Amino acid sequence: MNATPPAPDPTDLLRRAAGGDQGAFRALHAATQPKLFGVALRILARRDAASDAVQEAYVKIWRRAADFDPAKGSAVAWMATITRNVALDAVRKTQPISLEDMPDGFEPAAEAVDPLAGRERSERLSALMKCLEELEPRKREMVLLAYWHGASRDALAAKYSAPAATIKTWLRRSLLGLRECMET
Amino acid sequence: MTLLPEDDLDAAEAALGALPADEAAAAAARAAREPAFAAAVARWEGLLAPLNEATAPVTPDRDTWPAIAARIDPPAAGGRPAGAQGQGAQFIDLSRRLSRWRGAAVGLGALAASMAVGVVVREKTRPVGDAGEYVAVLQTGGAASPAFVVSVDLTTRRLLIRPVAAKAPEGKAYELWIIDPRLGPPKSLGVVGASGVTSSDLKPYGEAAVADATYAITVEKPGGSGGTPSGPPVFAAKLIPFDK
Repeated sequence: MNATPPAPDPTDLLRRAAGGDQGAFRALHAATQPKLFGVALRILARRDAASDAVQEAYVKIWRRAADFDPAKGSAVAWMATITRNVALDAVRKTQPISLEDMPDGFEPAAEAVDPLAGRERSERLSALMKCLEELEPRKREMVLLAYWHGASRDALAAKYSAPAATIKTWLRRSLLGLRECMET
Repeated sequence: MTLLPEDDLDAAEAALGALPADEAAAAAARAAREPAFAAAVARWEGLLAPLNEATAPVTPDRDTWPAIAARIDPPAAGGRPAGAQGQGAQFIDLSRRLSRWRGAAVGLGALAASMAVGVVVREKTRPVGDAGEYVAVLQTGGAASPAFVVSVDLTTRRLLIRPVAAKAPEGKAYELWIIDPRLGPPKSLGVVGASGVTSSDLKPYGEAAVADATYAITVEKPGGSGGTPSGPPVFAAKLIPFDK
């Protein structure tokens, strides 16, 4: 089973990149580009825009590599967060996301499964998913649409036919609930 | 320093990413000003980040590496430069701080366009009128190797520049310029010494121009250009307040 050499550890590569090791950074890029592209593509929908965002994200990752703290989560999760923020900035500059194209009854939790994630799902993700399941289905869906697809409060208001202020309240309550659940 | 519950919820929503553009920009500006708010956003981001594990990888149409490689520092040859000795703590501190600043190639017209790898570092929210020390780190891009540290005292209009990781090519010298539309063409602030601190007088220039200007370095013949830059800048930056 273990005949293939172990994949380089992103945390180690990121640490070396923080010390100025460009070769390690290139290896980190090769190992993580599809993941980060997936993160950006979900938000931006267009492949060219997602490529631009990924490029921007890696430049930021290189610059901020020294800020990464392994105690606070995985290297890939940290890199994905940076990518997400770049993609969100880009999408806000172009146009608000419309959720009209999404099919009714869309269930983000079921839709979004990385084939690897089933086997390699981290404890943190398992715990978070468990806590998400404690939310009302509609509220869970809103949180995931916002996180995975960059849906804004206004887009969610249109989709769920609720005032934006109500969406805001729901999102905040959901996030508080998630944190409380994660802390217990 | 603790945040009010309401502020913590603002941070939560910012981390989730559901804010409309104007509120997102306000939250980013606030995070840049208030470390406690930035920390709260980071905590919420950390809480949600595992969700990215569930996102399926997708192979991009084009490899993004070449474009990225063009924008990051070349590997440092031989480790930390000798010039950084004795300033190690500050060097690292500046590097780390740089990593939080937004690097952007800003529109300085033809000047910026001619900068092959030049990146101007600036902070998004610079409180104007906050007299006192300003500092700029002149670099080629990337946090790993700041090349010059420039500090400006707006009260005395005195500029100090110190090379941190920069050595001029053989038979050449670095010359410092102040560039601002109000001043017309770039104005020379003199040749930068190879080591130690070089001081320059900014009294001929208005305070607003001094605070807003871009400070740039060109490579010139020993003794300097004689008044007009002979090529594009190799380093450039704007001032930011020195907050510690």
